[in-house]
Amino acid sequence: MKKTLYLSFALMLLITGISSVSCKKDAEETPTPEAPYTPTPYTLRVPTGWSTPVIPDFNPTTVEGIRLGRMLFYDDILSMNGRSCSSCHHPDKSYSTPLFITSGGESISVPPLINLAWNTDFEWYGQVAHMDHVPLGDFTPEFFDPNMDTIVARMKAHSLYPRYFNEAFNIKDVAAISSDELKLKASYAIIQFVRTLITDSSKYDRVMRHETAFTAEEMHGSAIYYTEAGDCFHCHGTPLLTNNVMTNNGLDTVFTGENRGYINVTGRLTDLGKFSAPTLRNIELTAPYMHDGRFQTLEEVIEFYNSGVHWNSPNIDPIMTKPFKEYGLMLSAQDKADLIAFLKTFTDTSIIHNPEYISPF
Amino acid sequence: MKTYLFVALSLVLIISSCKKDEETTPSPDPSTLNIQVSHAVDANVLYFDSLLYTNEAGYDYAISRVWYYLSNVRIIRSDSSEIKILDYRFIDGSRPTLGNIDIGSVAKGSYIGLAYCIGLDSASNQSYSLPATTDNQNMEWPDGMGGGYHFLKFEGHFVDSGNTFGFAMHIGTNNYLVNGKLWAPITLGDGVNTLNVEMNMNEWFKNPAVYDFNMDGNYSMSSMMAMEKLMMNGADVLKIK
Repeated sequence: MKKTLYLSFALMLLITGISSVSCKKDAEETPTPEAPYTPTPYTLRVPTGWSTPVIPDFNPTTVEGIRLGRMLFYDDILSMNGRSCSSCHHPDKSYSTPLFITSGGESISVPPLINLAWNTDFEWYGQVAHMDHVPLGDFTPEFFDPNMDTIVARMKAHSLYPRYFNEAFNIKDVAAISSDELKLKASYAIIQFVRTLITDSSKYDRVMRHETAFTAEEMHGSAIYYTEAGDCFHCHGTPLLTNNVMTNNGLDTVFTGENRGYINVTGRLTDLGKFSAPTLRNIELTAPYMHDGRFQTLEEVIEFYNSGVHWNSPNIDPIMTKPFKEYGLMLSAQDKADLIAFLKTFTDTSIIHNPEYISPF
Repeated sequence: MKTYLFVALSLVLIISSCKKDEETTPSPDPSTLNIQVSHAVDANVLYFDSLLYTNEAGYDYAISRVWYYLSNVRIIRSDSSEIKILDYRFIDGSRPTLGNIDIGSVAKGSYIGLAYCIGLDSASNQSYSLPATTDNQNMEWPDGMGGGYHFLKFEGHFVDSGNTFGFAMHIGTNNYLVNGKLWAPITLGDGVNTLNVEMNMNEWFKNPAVYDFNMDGNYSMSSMMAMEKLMMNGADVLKIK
């Protein structure tokens, strides 16, 4: 009897054990929530001698983000009017465009989208603190004329975007997030792609790397650029060819509307007439020139600096009024031609055809 | 046994006596030093882009940029020997955080002043030798003009006969490294010691030589004479507040 009791107890233990194993197995078979996708970190290429790129923690660069951003950059899916980013940022114009006329009738020279990972101010008036938020300004009637319901429906129905958004930002359902969130993440992705648009393969770069040499004309132009004869280097120095500083170069004496410049951002009277000093890389490809595109050619630009600077412009950069500048730089025709020859050594056409940059469509 | 005890006590007395003597000069015990660099125009606070100031030559002027390298900073002992406490630091007068310099450990004790350079020594003043930061790149001195870096960019506007002109006091190249000293009792004790150092912008225009924009030039980069004058005047632009 005692033996049977022991046997029964052992049997019960066995059954309990089996059932608990069985229960455990059942629990394991219950579907678990899908693990969040971890995008692959992407390290931007930093050309030798360049500073560390400025990348905010809130939008780290990833392989999946760049892929999504590149596709959105060239796709008109974000607009109701057939526009995409590439409508105004043509690769063959260094991701710039000929003049854009706003609905208010003001002219804007669209800045080139190159080497922006090293920029610290954005747009001509410095009106956006973080590049990652610049594309948000395109979700307006002026540019994309968006209808977010339509855009979300398009995204949801697309064969690739739902997966791309998920892999870049862990967005499981593009229809389940707010339209503001969708615009923000689209902006982040586009900027991740834009940060990869790096140009450092111009003749100027090759000369700096001692791979080739300037012609006599380019060398003379370089001497004008890098001495006070032309004094271009103080605002457009090596290697980015911009000093990332808001400045008044003496274009006007009276400023109105958007043309008031940085004061529109800061409200400080001392910022009246100040604009971002643009990079001169690929300057040959980015006509027309100045923030309002008033100059059509490099010859006109050089002539402005040679003889047209309004040295009595309010808040003009002190560099623009050094001795004799009120009488112009007094460059000869040959000086001007050679300076332009040197400026053209900044041209890097590899950016136009780089397979990582061009349209994926 | 008594002899041994006497010798031991004597040693203790000698050692403790030596220790007491050392306390009057910088002791090997470290304290922490922080230097705060600020900028003023004589007794006035520096407000950028404001036509508030008058220099020794009589010009009313405004300041729009103050960029320079403060380098080779040494703290001076009473016997005139020096301890180097800072290699170099880029200063932008409009960004106070750059003027907040944590020096780290310095021996406690009494000192009589600071020695400093404005600019970079010849070893550092080589083109592209400094870390590739935006600040350093904006200070580059073109190779065609000698290479290296600007030591100082002090820019603004001045008024002459009712008209406003720009000025750009730029110094660079090895011959024009500013060497300065300031004399003041400095006592470093336990814990964090803060030394407030102020640059008087008007000192660039006087002592020993009056700098006149019209006579000496309102743009110094191409003028050896102008840079020479500024270099000499720079020897006393800093003081301890």
